[in-house]
Amino acid sequence: MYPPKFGYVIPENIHEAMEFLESHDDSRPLAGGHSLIPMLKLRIIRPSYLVELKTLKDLQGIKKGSEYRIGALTTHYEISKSGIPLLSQTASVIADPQVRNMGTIGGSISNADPLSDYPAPLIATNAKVVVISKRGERSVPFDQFQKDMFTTDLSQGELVKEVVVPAMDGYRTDYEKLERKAGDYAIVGVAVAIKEEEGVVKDVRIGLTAVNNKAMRAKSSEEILMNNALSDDLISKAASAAVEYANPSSDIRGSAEYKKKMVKVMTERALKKVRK
Amino acid sequence: MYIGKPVKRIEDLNLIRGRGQYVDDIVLPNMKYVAFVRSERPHALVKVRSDVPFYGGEVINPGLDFPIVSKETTYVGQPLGAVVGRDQYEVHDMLEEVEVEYQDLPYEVDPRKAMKDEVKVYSKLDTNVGLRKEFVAGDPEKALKESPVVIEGELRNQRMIATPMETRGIVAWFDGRRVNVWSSTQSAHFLRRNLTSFLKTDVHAVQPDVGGAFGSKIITHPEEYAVSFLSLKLGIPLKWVPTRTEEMMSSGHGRDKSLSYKVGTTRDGVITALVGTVIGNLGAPYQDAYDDESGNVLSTSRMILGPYNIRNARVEALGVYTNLVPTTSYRGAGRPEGTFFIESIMNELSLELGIDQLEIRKRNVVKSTPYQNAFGITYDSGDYTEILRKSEPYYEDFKRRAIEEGLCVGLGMYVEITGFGPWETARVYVKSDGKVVVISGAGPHGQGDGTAFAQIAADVLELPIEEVEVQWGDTAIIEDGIGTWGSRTVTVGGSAVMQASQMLKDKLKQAGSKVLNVDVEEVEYEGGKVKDRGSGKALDFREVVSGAYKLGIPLDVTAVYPVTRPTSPYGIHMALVSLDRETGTAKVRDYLAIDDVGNVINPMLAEGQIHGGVLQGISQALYEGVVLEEGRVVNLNVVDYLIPTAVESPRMKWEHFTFGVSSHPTGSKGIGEAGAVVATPVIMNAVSQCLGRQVKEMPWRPA
Repeated sequence: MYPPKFGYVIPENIHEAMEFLESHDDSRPLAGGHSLIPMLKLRIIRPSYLVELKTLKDLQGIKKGSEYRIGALTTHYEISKSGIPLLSQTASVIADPQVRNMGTIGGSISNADPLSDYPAPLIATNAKVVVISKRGERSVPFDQFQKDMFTTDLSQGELVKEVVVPAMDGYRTDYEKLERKAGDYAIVGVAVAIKEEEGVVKDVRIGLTAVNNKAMRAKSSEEILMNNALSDDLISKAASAAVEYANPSSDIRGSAEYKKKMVKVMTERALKKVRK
Repeated sequence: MYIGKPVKRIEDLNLIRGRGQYVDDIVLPNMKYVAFVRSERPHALVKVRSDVPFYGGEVINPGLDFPIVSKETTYVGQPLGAVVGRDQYEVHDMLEEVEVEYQDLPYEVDPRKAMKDEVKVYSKLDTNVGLRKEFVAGDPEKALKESPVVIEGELRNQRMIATPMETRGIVAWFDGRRVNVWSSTQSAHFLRRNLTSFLKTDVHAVQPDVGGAFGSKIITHPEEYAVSFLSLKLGIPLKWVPTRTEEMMSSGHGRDKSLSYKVGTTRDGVITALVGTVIGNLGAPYQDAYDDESGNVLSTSRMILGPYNIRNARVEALGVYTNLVPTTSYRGAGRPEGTFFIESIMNELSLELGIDQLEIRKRNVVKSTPYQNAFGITYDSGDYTEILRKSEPYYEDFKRRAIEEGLCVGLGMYVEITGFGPWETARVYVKSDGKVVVISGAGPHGQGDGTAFAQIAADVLELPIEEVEVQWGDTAIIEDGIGTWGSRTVTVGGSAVMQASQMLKDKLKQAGSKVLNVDVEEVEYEGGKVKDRGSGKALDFREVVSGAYKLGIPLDVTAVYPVTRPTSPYGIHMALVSLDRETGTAKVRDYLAIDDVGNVINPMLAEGQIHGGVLQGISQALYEGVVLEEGRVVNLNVVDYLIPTAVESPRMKWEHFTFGVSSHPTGSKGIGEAGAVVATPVIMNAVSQCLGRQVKEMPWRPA
């Protein structure tokens, strides 16, 4: 409940923030604070400084062109209201309204909780993460950005600047989240994006969250569906194939066995929802 | 008349404006904070080394391990001692300066194993079996042998955590003469009695606004003893408020009982015999908790007979110590477990014999009241057959919808014991300006009894309810009191208010007659006025009061209302539940409660109690329950321990009938716990109906 002592930095601009973060090994940036502050309160992290990001303009706002460029400090609430295919639906089921008012996409993916929701659509849509540091910017595909649970491609002094999501024109999408109760983390989360032409699948992406150390694409499920019509039978086969991409652990949200079965159920439901 | 009307809560105005005063809102000059070091082991000898001043059991209760551990800890979360500092941040930093050296001892958290006494939960116990009692009636073994149908099995009613939104908390200040405490408790008077005997010093106890309790704040907790003691020792005001994790690891643990049973019936499903053993997990041997929970184990065992006419029965009741948090009351306090056991058995019979759920209850239900059950509990009044008849159209409607919408119907019937004694107090006085003050010895903490008391007093005194102010929770403003638990407050506390108000009315009549200068027999009291029947001359309420003050007639009365026997409400509840066959997730769609709780003083507040209790019952069936790993509870926050949200709460409807009133002056029976008593089997029975087999463990959670 009571955080340990720490120093607090309010930088003038993003360069000052990055400089401070780089020169102080155990400093942490503070965005929405809805993962960082709970960890402080449990004293499971003990940073020397928190660097406040919320005033930094460079990290805010959503720009739409041929793709969506989503500033790292954009909140779950703002994303849920901005009509981004798949991502907005996913943002709308993260935690509860108060958390969505504060939590940010940059914070969520930087924290890299294996149970979080965004990784399923981000891996499914081949999203990119723009990382900024004193040395400049670099763009990293999301599947390389997430290294392991609670571990990302970020080095000390680097920040997520924005997340770039393709516009997914012509795709139908769905995110299915199985949860024990409203506001909880996912037991299983499945994101699906599909493009059909004349009743035949021309592209399909299936992203799984909460059942591995990091989000996974269910590639062989996708292959089963590619260039085929979405029959019940085929959906069922594809959903069964998704299970091989799940390596969940048994915990308070269910046994590994149960979670594997639920990957099939949720994948099936998502595919049936996106079928025309 | 205000009684019987849905009068809006007089408590609301302060609470909706943030002007309540809960214990952590209280700040005293020079106040310091207390935090407790807690055991991380289920059973161990402990040695504490501290770089900061540390007050352990050897200081607070030398040679003893309760309330605070001196040497041997018996559960994870048990307080080993306290640190005192400037604020919550500082004391939690200080906790890191305290080093505890553990010498682990063997532990046991399963009461079935602990019963064998191979591992002693606490070295000073002769046996882990803290309670053993048998209830027997008729010849159950013979009846069982002769029964054409026998079912047997084991039902488990899991360990829960009450989890009120406000945790415990206490402020204690020794003023040089007595120790003053403000505590988040269910009774200032009960707390005062315990603290005075522990401290051997006079205590003034205040129950400020309390953010719920559900049984968890009846007993005096180890920390309350310790903080009061330290305020006396250190001579400064002290405040203690635990974190949520601390609260869940050390308080509010309830239920945790199992029943192994054999039940014999006729082929028509009429129960001929019931034989069983109830094992209650008492947790660690803290006497205050034992005094509370051992009675609950007996309640469970005696209420297993439910509202049914079962004459051959034997139930052995066992209370067993284990290395878990000492078990205490949780909403229903033993009766939910008994009701869950018999209602699960009823449903199992319905499934096994292919007899409709309502029909099998009709065949077994008690036919007339008063009725003494085979274990000696009297069901005082009501008509059980009639309430089943009234429920039929609702049940038929639920069955129809179940077929149309692919849902399942669950039923549960209950009979309850409420309005426990031994007595309750009420003081009523009138200020010189005519304001009536009602003070109760009970300790409401959310139930809205203050409004009900105002309704009762306003009706007796024939005054507008706005003229009545209600207070409670301060041992300095009324001579004594019992408290709020056991669904007793409106009935027992309200009867005391009713009697005190009547006594005051007599005083007002006397005073009025003196002012009018006529004999008291010549006057009548009506609408707050005292009128001389002869002359027709009348004094209004304020004139009577100011006259009494002028003449020196005191208008201050206290009534003590003794309870001769508890009173039994009953009812039948039903739910429509969907079971997702692929994910295993159950969701309650619709819930209907049909209750007979005698006279209903305030139907709006009574319905609120049903909604709250029912949701807690649903939650026991589908969401809540502690998870143990290596002798410790691992789900100690509200992410891992599932408290339902609005999304999990179904549409609820409440119907009530009055076929039987209580013998108390209010004619009422308790409803505070009824919802939690019966909702659990209602939901579990619906899930079982979906599956076609009785589910015997909770929560129902796909895994």
